Amino acid sequence: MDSSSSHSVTFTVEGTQFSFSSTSTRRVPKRTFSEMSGSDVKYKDLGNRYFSEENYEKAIECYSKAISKNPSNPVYFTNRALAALKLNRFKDTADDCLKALKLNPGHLKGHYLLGKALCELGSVDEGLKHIQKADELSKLGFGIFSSEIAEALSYWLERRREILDEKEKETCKGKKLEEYLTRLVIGERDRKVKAIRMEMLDKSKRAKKIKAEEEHAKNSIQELKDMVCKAEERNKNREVPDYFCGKITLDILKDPVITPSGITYERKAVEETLERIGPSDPITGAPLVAQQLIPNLALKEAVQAFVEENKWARDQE
Amino acid sequence: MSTPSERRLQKELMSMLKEPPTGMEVDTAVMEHNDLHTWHVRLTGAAGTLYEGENFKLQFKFSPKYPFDSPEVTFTGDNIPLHPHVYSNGHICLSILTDDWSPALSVQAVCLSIISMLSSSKEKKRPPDDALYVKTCSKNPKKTKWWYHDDTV
Repeated sequence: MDSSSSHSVTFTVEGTQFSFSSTSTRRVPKRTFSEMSGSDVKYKDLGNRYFSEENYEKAIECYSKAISKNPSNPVYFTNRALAALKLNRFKDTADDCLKALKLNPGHLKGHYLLGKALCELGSVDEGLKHIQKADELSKLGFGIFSSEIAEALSYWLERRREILDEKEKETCKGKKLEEYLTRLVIGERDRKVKAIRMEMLDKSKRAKKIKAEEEHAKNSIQELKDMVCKAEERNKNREVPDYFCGKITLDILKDPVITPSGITYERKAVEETLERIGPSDPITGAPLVAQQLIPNLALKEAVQAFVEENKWARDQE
Repeated sequence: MSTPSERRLQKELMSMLKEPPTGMEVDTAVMEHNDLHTWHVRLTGAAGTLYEGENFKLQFKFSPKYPFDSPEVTFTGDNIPLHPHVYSNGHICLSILTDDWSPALSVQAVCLSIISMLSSSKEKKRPPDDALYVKTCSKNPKKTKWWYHDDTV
């Protein structure tokens, strides 16, 4: 961060910018709107107007122009980030916030929006850290923006609890079922033993029968235990089979394409290879251009079926 | 959030730790704070070759563009193999590390190539231009314009 830039907290109310800056460490006076170079502010104001009209696409266009005129103002990035958030483009939001935070690591809105975007993208733990940081900053900056932050904080903390509970339940399910079934087996054994005792048999025959019942119950319990153990093992070894993974990304295939050599890659990865390295198949070295790539629909369906049965495979992303 | 490059390195690491290929072992001690961008791999010279029983250390450095960028691979530590394609500063003249790199290659594939390069050596000696090269080369072997000419070793 530029040592002369000011620590400021910025937020938006209905598309209008307000800035609060700490006064103690500033060496260079913060520029006011009128002092800023004309054109980028004009684009930002125009963007804010589109934003308030809920025309987020247009707003993003304007903020982008403001950024190209003046790439050193974090506000333009966070404004664009907010517009992207409204359009559910969480990755764009996160990228812009990171840029804003690079310019000003203490940027409240940067942390807040980044946190929200990360949560939406599935990194709830990481996201919550940023929302909490925004909460701290808000307390330093006269509590601005605090109700929105508090709301997001409690919402995502609750969501995280739910996610953890779900995971917990998943792991307990097998154990609980095992306990329940074991109780059933023991109950059945006891009932049978009791019945045998009621029968009029000589002692040694009775003992033999009881022993057989006990043996049977013991084996059933052991079998049950093994089954649950195996299931848990499977749950732990959550691995996507190699044949569902791209040969370059090593990740589960999303858009598999097949080359004339018969090898399947993730489209983006093989296209980037062709662009950066040259026109040949990454594995066989045979000549290859992007037009020759054919979607591997059968594999795509197989991957989708696999993900359907193994929801965790999607969560890994 | 991890990048595709980090995810791929993570997968490569897991598979090498789970099923270590013969003659190579990843040293995870150097990966502080899960920094996947520098690896150290211990290599063991293959049985029946000039380097049998010897241990070497390879250093891998990965850019954020990996695997589209080749890794920077050098021998490091106090035992640099005496080999006609290995300079005394640890730089290796091997085409897959630059011109012939493919993103379908991996750490394991590179290690295997290097072990096989060592294995086919018939004489333990430095490259003829070692003294000059080591004096003039860049720190990063990928900046060297290698002249691959000898496919026999």
